[in-house]
Amino acid sequence: MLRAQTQASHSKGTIPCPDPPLAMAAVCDLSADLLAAQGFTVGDFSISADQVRAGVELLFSASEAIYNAMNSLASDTGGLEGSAEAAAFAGIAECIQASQIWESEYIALHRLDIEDAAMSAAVSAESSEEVDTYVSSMFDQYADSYFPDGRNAPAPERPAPNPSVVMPRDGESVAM
Amino acid sequence: MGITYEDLSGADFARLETVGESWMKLYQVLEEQAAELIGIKDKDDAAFGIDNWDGQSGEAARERLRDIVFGIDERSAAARRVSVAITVAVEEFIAAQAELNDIIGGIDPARATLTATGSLIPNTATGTENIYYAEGLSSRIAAVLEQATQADDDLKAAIGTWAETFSESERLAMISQASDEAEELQELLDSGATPEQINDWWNGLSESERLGILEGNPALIASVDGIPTDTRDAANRSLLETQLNRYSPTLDSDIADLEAQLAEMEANGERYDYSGNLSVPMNSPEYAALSAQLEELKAERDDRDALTNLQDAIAGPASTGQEHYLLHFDTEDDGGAIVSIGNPDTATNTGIFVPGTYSALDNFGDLGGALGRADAMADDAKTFGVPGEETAMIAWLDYDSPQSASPLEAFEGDSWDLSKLAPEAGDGKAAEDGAQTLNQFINGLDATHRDGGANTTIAGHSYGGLLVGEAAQDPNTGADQLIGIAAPGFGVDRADELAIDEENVWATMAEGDAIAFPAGESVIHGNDPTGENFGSNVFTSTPSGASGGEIHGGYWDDENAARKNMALIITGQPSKVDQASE
Repeated sequence: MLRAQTQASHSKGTIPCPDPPLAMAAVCDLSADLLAAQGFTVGDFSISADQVRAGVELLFSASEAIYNAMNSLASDTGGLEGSAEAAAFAGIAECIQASQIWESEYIALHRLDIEDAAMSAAVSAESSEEVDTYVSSMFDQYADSYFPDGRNAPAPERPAPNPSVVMPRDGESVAM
Repeated sequence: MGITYEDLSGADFARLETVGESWMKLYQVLEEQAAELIGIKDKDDAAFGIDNWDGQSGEAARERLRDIVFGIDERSAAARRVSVAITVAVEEFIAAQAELNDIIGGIDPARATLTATGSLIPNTATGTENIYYAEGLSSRIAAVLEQATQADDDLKAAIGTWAETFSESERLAMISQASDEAEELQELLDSGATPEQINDWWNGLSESERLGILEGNPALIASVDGIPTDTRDAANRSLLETQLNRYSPTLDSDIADLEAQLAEMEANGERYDYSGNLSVPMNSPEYAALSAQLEELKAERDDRDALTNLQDAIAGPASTGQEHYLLHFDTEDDGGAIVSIGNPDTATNTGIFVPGTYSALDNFGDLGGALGRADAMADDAKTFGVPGEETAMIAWLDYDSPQSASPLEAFEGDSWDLSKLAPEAGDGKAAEDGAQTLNQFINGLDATHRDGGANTTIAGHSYGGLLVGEAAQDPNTGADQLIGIAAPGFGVDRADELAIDEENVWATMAEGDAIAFPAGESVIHGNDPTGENFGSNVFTSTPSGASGGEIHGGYWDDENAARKNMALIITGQPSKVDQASE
């Protein structure tokens, strides 16, 4: 799970990256733009990409199930088109019209909404993970840039032993 | 143009019947998928739940799914109604066709000849009375064709309305054609007609007229007992959507602006006006006006939020897979609502749950609210009910529920609310008034039930128990069984004072329930319904909770024995109920 805390200064629509260098900021802004384009904005943010992916799959399968049911209705209603019954009974003609409108407009719009939401969620899940991977890959490249004059303190050892053993005290120097 | 003899005699309605079935399948799929989508967002640990997707993007995704679910839910109800309309039309067409064939089959060729267009030519050579014979048959044929034409008009109106194929002009024409009927209904209501009279009148209308009233005057029928459940649901949902759309989209920001404005005035020392008597500081006129405006907007926001919660709670199917039917809602005072899980017009059993003190519209849809508890009871009725029988479970909050139960509530930290010194729950007036409304509602359900009435149980919790007890005192109550869940009393001293047979009067009180003491002492609202001398059937329940208050609200907790017992009573299986030993 990727978790990043929003800072008050972060502008709306930007994934909060911890003091990102320019390259990282560009990626964060790109993802945020994608989300914003889908109507999403980002605040305190955490996402479990696998779970969201599972939700996305459910959304697409919901759309498919609705499509199949509508298709079946349209196909059955097709049997009435051009029939003597449709010509004589206004109610039956209205049934044909209903199926056509539902197929081309109402149900189509519901499916569009569902799939659009699914795609937006997919972008959220994938881009968040990409950002996470990218940020972690940048550590080696940028870590030293924060010490332009070189380090004057040793890097902490890992795993850290008891801090009281290694912390400088009583005038001891840790400069190497 | 009407249906002709040739149209009807040669028609094959099998394909139309198949189309009706396809609409029903579409309805089922839409309903199932709405439930799936709710499952993706509704729980914290759901795929799009807050545990898996926090932040504004997750919030936006859930909000978007909410809108999608509303759309699909509305569409699924429309598909069901289209399917029902087609099924009804097919039945009527086939009946008309059968009657036509019957008439034709009975024609005596020696007396009259049937032409290809359905006209009858009397054989005057064998007697002039054959003219009357042919005329008689012609009128019977005309009546059948009229019947088929009416069914066709009704089908067109139903499809046009539910499938939304009507143009605005067609819709307005339908509304206009039903304006006289709408006036008639208003007159009926003004005259105090009973639910049965209302239902008889409603059934006498054509479908086009009924739909015209629904489309043009939903408020006229939304809460009228005697109007069929499905129609009331459509009217109430339409009104709910209209009401929610009326709230300003800037309501929240308007409140925030006003609050900021008032805070700024306070910070700048502009709040008080010292120019009055004795220089006593009073809110300045401008501050007072803004404060009043803020309070109004906050009240509006509370109403909007309560209605939004209601809309959320009834979106999609219930946990049992049954549909929600919205039979009433209002925002007056603390507000109220009536929602049925399952259709009581077709169910074998109907349970009506009446919640107690502190019930209001804003907690109606909560897990521990009236609908949440009715949902648990519907689930139990499905689990423990008789296979093949459907139970509709109704959450009924159409009374002025007390909002205080103890005088201690009068102390508000730094002041006293004198109105609470005498707790509302100690006064039986709200229950007495509510009982009349409840009985009218039950009589309405009896009138709209397709088989003349379901097996009806009224179940009240706490103060709601008093209300159902009051309702059960009326000889005209339509209730068959009565359940008091931690009821302080039924308003009588003995079960035989009720209009429901003693064997159908049930009560439970878990050990340690906070209300057990006042009820046990029979100090309020009549003798303790679970007391030895009262005469009701006492069933077991589990003390669920760490305190008397928690136990009082714990009857719907998982594994509480009360749940199965209530389900068995509601589904008509009293012999299986676990009765408490004396």
